[in-house]
Amino acid sequence: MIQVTNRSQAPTPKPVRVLVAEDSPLNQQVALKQLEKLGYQADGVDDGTGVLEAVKRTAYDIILMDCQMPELNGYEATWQIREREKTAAASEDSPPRRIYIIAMTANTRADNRQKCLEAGMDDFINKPVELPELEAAVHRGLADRASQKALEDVIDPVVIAGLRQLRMPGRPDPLAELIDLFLQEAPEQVQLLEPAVSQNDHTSLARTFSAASRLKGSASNLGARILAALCDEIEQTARNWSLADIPPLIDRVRHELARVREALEKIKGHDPGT
Amino acid sequence: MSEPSNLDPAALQRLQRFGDSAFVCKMINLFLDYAGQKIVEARAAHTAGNLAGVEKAVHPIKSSAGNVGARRIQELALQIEEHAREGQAEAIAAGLTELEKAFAAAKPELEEKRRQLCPKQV
Repeated sequence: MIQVTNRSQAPTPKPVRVLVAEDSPLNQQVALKQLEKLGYQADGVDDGTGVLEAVKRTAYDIILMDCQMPELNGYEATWQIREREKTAAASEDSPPRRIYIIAMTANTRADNRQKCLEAGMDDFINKPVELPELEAAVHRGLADRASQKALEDVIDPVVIAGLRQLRMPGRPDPLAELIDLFLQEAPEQVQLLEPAVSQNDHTSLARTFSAASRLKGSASNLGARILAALCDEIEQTARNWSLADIPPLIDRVRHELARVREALEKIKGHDPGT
Repeated sequence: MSEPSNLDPAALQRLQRFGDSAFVCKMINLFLDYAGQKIVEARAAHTAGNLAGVEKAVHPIKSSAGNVGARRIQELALQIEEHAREGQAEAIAAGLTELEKAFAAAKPELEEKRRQLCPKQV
């Protein structure tokens, strides 16, 4: 039996690192104190250039960003971070990371928030920052990180990063094409598994084997590791003639395929390169 | 000294919700140093005819003042920032004089608060 669903021994989560970017020393001190009160480790910088240097040194999870900093403002700093994340996603083997950026806005006019979103920020809080509002925003950031992590359990980010490297300017995106093809074909292959098992004979065994094998291949190509492992298990079971053990595995394949679909649609939708 | 209080007590109460007295005193000291310095910078920029410099100097006074509840300073800083953006040099001159007065008025009040909160500090 391959242990594909045992994730109970998850490592303890890493401490959350927060960066406060704020030029007013009082606001910066206040935000740092509030974060300390909430139990988070935080550092402060006073302009956008400081932000770009800090994120190079430390893997921050969350940035609290003032928009109106001197020299390099919060919008530009955010835009540059997003650009770097795109480059990193396309060129490195490490899982792509997206920092959750929370704008601290004194001005709640819609155009201001629109500008934050356009720059690539994720969330907003009003100034003066109040503890419950800050806590809620940090929790939204952590939920976002957790869902990124859950997505990485379903789809290997290194495989996705590798596919992103294949992109060529002016050509169709191979990752998007592969995802579309997979989402179209995988359910058909699962459909093939079922009748193949119900007719308990030599031919159906061969069909089960080949459908599982093809699905395993296409799942591996997209880094759907749990799905690929389940297909491998079906192949092994078919090889051992234990057809009765296959239907529960098919149920698990269906369940996992739904998670894979969701994850791939997210990857396609959020893709910084598209 | 019968003028109404310059300070909004809610601001220091907010600071006390997440910081101890020492933290509140630290913020008062930081405000007095920082805003004092930025007002001098704003005045110097205005004298030099550098309106962008005025805007840059008064902008952070606004939120800093908000943190210690210095409402009058906050309002004046906002007005001066708008005048600087609109290029109204004369309005800035008048605003800066008001700002300097408001700062001079808020200072002893904040120092008194600090004495109450942190009696050991000089």
